[in-house]
Amino acid sequence: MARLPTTSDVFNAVAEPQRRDILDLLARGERSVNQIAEALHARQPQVSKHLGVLKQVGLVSVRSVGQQRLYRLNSAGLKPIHDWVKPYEQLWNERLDRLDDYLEQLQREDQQP
Amino acid sequence: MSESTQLLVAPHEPTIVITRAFHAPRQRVFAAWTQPEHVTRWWGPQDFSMLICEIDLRPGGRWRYVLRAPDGHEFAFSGVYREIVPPERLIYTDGYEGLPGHEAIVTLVFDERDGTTTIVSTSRYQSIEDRDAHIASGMQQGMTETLDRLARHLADA
Repeated sequence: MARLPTTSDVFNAVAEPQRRDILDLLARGERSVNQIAEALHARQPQVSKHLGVLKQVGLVSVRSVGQQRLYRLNSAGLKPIHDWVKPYEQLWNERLDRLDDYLEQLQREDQQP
Repeated sequence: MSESTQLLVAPHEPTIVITRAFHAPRQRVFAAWTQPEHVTRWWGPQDFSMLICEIDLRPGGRWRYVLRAPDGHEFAFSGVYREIVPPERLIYTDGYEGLPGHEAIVTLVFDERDGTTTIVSTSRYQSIEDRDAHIASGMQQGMTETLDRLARHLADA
């Protein structure tokens, strides 16, 4: 199956480890490029490039405060990933709910004289 | 009382980790997972029937489950037990027969504390692509169930 280009596919955008580190960091609050680079011990141009990708897929947004540009996480952008795993999670949750009910039923049968 | 299922899809590793607690001794949870008379009571989705449930519980022994969907489609899953430590741990391969060569290795740990048994199931796939395809197939099944419900709803209306 052909993959969409990184710049339009949120799955590809988060496939890169350093981009995930950036998202983790921004989950704790707004940061400038320099603050991100410092926290991740990364080079600033590299971080700028990653932020560009994350911005294009809608995972981060940016606002200007004076001379600074502050980046923040747009967690709604992660929805496609959430949507992708959710049915699978539901499948297992329902299966294990049935096991739970069954175990309870066995328990009740034990308690009957 | 029902606990919630936790599912973890690791970004860097081809694994899916599922955690769930049950208010039952682990001896019982282990039996429910490894004896056909128990497995047939809960393993398949609500409207599916379990046609075959074979379990040869010994290292090198095979297991095979065949399910029939309400639309008549049959799905077969099978694998081989690698390690069996009742009632603590199970290691087995797990594959969908419609897609041979993409088996996962499942490590299932049963941990009992104060009458509550927590199971941690770690499925390790051969690649992240395999793992992702497996999750996507869950989505497909979820979709099928949703569409079935919609169809029933429309039939009732």
